Amino acid sequence: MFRSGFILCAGWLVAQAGAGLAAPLLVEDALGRTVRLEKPAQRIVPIFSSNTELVAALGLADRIVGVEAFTRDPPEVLGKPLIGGRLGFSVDAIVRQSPDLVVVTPARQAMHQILEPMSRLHIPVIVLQSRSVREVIGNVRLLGRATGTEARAEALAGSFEARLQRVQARHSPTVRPRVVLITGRLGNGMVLIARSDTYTGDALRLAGARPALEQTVVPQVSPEAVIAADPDVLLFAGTREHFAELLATPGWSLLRAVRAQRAYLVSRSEFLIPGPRTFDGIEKLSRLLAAAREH
Amino acid sequence: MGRSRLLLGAALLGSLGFAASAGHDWATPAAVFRSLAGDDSLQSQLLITWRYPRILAAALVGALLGLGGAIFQGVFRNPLAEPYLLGSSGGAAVGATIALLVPMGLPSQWLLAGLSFLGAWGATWLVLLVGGWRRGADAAHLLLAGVAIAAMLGAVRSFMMLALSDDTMNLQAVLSWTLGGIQTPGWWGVLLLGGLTALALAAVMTLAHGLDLLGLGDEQAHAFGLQPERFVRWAVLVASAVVAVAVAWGGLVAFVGLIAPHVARWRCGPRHRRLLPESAAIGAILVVLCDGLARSVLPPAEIPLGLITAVFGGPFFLFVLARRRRP
Amino acid sequence: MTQVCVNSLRVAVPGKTLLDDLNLEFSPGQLVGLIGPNGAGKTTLIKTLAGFRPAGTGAVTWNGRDIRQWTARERAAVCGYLPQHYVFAWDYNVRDLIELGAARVAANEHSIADAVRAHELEALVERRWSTLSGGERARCLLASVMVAAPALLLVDEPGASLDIRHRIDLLARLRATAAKATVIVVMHDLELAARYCDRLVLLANGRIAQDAPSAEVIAPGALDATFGVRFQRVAIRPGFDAMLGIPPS
Repeated sequence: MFRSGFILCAGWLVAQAGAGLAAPLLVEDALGRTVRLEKPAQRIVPIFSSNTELVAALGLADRIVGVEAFTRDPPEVLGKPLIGGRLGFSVDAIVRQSPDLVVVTPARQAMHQILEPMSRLHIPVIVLQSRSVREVIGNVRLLGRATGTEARAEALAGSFEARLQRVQARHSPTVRPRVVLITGRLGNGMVLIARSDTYTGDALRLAGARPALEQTVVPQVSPEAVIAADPDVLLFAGTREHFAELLATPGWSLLRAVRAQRAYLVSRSEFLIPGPRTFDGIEKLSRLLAAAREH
Repeated sequence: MGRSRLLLGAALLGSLGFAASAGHDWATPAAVFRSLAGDDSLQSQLLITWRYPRILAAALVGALLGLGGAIFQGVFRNPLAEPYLLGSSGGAAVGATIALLVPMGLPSQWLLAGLSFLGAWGATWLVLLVGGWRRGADAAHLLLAGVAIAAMLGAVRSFMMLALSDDTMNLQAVLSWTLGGIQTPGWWGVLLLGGLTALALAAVMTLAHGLDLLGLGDEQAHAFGLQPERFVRWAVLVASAVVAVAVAWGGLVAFVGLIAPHVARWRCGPRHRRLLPESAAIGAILVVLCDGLARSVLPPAEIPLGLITAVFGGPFFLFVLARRRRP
Repeated sequence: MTQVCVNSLRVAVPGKTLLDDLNLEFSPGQLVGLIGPNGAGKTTLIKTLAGFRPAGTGAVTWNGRDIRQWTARERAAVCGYLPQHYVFAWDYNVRDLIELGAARVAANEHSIADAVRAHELEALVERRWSTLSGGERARCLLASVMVAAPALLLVDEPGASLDIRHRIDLLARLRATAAKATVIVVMHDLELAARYCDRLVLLANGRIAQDAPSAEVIAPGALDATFGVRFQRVAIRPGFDAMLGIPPS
């Protein structure tokens, strides 16, 4: 009896030693920082909807311990503790959840409020960027490494890539309609449009569109410029009421897209959140553009 | 004197012509003529539905700012007085913030114009109440009350922006309004603005004699038949209403209400019967030119109008300083 | 013609009574001088007569009607007020000022031209205020007040900042005006007051010390006591314009 007990203890000690000797994870994030995780992350705080959706898409919704107030998808995260929202992010609230990984995107002051404090508290922070759709897919793999779910991540990324290839195969590369995607309106009458050098612009391109407006220095453009560009298809990411209001202002009724009923509403969460739903958006849009081409 | 008026009229027409061509896409004079002749192309239609109402609105907004500024300078007897002295900018910003951030069922462009007008004019009423309503208005009291109210309104606006903005309507959307800029109205909007401007001009001309008398000093004005404190109260209300209309259509445009009356006084002297219309004309020219620049300097974006006028405001004051220094 | 009556006028500010129970009557045809030491209430009285200060208790009436019932417009049409100090916010020209004065009675071009001529301002009509000398400014202001032909003229220290020549000139004009209107002037210069005013009202500490034709007031009596100095009275000989006191050798 003592001998079996002794062997069990020895075995347990060896296993622990083996686990202890396992090398820590080293992950390189979008800013080139090398982030060191002692073990795959179990308590994750993803900041911003995009990061939350990516983590949840990997089946890790139960490992999420804190979200920010604007995140509404997926439904599993709705009851989670809030660590920030309209007025910024609370370091206290984050720390209270004892996370072992914080995922953040450089937007809305998140970096300034979080990087410094987290590094002093030795909580690893991964910074993700989504400058292109390819980078979004890369983020899936990155998160897989950080959470020890490489296999699932590879499968998910692979599925996204496959969907993109199917979309590409469907439309002919020569006929690409000129498209403007309006993402918002400013208080002074300017409109915000999707720029070609962002993942939104990239998504439009992958869906088979061509930008009607050339590269802009600032994201806000005069409505006159959009109207003068006269795109084949006009897209609006927002509510139907806001779209109708925009189209009622002077000049918009001149657009051929408006006159030929080729002005469509697209989902903000599909085009403005760089996460898994972006691919739904690309597929839907490519079907829409194909149908528009028929007319 | 007639020649000077002719020159001013020509300058106004010239600036309108410049502005009709200016934009992210410069339209040649030929294109402008074609559009007026009934051409059907997209460019011509765009000029007619978008650019012409825009430049007319710019001229009218500039005229209103010139009138308001001239009255404020007359009331405060100071060539450095400007139309936002009594809190109208703070009030307008609060109104605009509410219109932009609080979801209401009404169409947004009328809401924005309406609430910024109410905010601008309402702030002045508040200043008049605080600065002394019963006995009439003393200019110094009004200024102090104006500073206090403006500060409080600024705090209210900042708080509202923080509390009400969300991911669809962020701070930038609201801040962009405060930098000033004319939102292209439809032709009905231009007509309404034109009517209001004509009304404003008529109302303002009735103040001309009183403003002349105010310049003689309170006692002498009294001796010449004016009741200074009652007149100041009325003049401030009229001027603020005029400025509030300008703000409703053009946002917070800095310096025009200060420079236009200043330049007009150089040209035609201090009598307000001539000063007021000249100030309106010069204000119109300034805003039309600056708006044209705003639309054409960084295509396809627009630089906020308030920034352009501020860029010219600074050198203007250096110029005034240089003039004063000359013996 | 304006009959100005002051009945039991009392004007006080917290801590001090400026005018105490004054009773006065003024009629056209005489140039009345208000004299007295500093703080006697001369400026307070003239401003109250003009309607600038609230009357306190008692009443000031013009032609029998209390001035508080007159609107500022009505008062301006009948009364002209020349202040001691004036600073204008804008650089009006002479013509502007006369036009502003003429607007009190909606006078026409004719009256304006007459006023310009009467005050010898033809050469100065287009000149701006900042370019005028003291004497020219006084004439210009007088013209703007007189162009409305006021029946009541109130002047605070005529020619206070002018040289003796211009002061004499101004007083001569006021005397000419007094023939048809009621003219009341506040004077510090006793010598000129004695020479040009028909009647003097001597004020001291807010009360009337003496109200009589100038010859009586100038005679030895209340004057020395009120001012606290001893005056030597000398008759100015014809052919001379002004008095110059020479120190004893």
